[in-house]
Amino acid sequence: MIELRNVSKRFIENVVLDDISLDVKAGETLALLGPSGVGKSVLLKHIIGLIRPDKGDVLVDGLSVPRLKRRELSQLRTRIGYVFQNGALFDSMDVFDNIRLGITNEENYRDDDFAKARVTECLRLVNLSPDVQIKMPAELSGGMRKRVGIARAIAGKPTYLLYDEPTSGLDPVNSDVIDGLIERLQHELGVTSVVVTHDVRGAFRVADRIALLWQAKIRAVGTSDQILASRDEAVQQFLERDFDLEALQGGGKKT
Amino acid sequence: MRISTVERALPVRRYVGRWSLHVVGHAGRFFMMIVDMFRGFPAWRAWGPEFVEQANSIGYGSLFIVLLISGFAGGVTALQTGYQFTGAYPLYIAGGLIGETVILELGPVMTGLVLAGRVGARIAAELGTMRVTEQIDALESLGRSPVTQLLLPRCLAGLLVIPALVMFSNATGFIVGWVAAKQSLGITNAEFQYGARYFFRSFDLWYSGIKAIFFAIAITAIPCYIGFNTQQGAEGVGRATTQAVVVTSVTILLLDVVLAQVLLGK
Repeated sequence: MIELRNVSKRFIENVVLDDISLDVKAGETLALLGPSGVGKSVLLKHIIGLIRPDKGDVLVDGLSVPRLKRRELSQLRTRIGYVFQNGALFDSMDVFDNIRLGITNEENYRDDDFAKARVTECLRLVNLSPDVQIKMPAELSGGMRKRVGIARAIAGKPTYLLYDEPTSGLDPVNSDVIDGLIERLQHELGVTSVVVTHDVRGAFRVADRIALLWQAKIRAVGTSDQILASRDEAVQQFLERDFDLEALQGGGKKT
Repeated sequence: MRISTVERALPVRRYVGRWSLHVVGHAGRFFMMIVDMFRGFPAWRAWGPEFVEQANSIGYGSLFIVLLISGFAGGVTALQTGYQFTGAYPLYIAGGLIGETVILELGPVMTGLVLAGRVGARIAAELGTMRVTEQIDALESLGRSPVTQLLLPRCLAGLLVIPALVMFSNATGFIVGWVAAKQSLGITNAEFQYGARYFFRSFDLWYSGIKAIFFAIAITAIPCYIGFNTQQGAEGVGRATTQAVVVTSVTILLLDVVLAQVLLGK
């Protein structure tokens, strides 16, 4: 379980997160919606300890992430897979080595046979052929880079998966493919996921619950039905901006 | 309304205060980076492969330019010695002058400055790009230490290879200087060897080596620190690269003065 308790963060004068409290229950997928630049990725980075809060606490499996020692934090990170916005693949390594780096157990990482089998399995899970292994990141399309990024994140068999804008910069077809992939991984791996996105349609498709981050605060949290029924002005404004609310209320929800 | 002296001095004091905090902050973070490198040293499996690659890139990759520049430096030293020689001194002094100039100063400093541009810029640009494209964050998110995997191998490779490059540079500068002195001064091999041996002390080579080690630390650790802390996209990478070369070059010149005073001063 992931718990954020009264988390605040500011960068110089800019308050990015203001007294945020949010829970992500084991096994669920939470989509964190919000306009670009509102601080969604900053919040996600708090969960994995890449950014420390100015105030408040972040708990993962009951462990206070900001208070963990270096080794404990590294240990915790082996249970969390993080999918970066642009893949963040290592340019100097081919796809195989990139995914292999995701194998967080040192013994397995060094075992060539295990690594080969695991990389092939991860590529299968993200619908990529084994031939991709020998390619360099520069040779991949945007969608493929995202999928290799997901493959790397799941290579260590994590308990948690954090997606930072998994569909940003992709065309609608590729966005659908990634959304489908997130759904499928959720079912096949049974992980707890947090998906940061500004794509409302995708969020409604993949998430069990949705939270809206608006002007440094969590403005609404709930199931897709609860969010759709919300009378909150910011929620309505955000949903209407992206698409026809009536059409969404008619179908689009996660079943 | 008159402004009091205290009020007039306040902005200056604020500026000095902020600047001091800035410098102390950087010094603290730089120190912590070095401590982290020592901590990562036992995990040799993590930094070993990158170390070999970096040693090859810094050493073999820089060899040609280092030899070229030190050759020119040795040659020019000989030609200028020839220009200044008016027959007032015995010719063998040229052997000592060229040998000592190359070993004590030109070999280490020219190599250091060239490597500050070639190696320092590359390290800062590489790490800066990795930072702004979140590759360093990705490494951390996988439970791996970027200091151990990225910074430590670069610094260790520099520490091993740069002193060797300096020694090659010394040898090249000396040999080219010898050949050039023969052409410009008409000095014989025996005279040149006599002069070089007469003025040479084995400590000179140690001094050159010690300088090379200090320069190697500056050439690798400073760009590592600046590149690792890059911010703000492509512009930030450009700024980090320039900063790394300037700060490293100035540090090399400062170290040159300090080491000369400490090791050669009477």
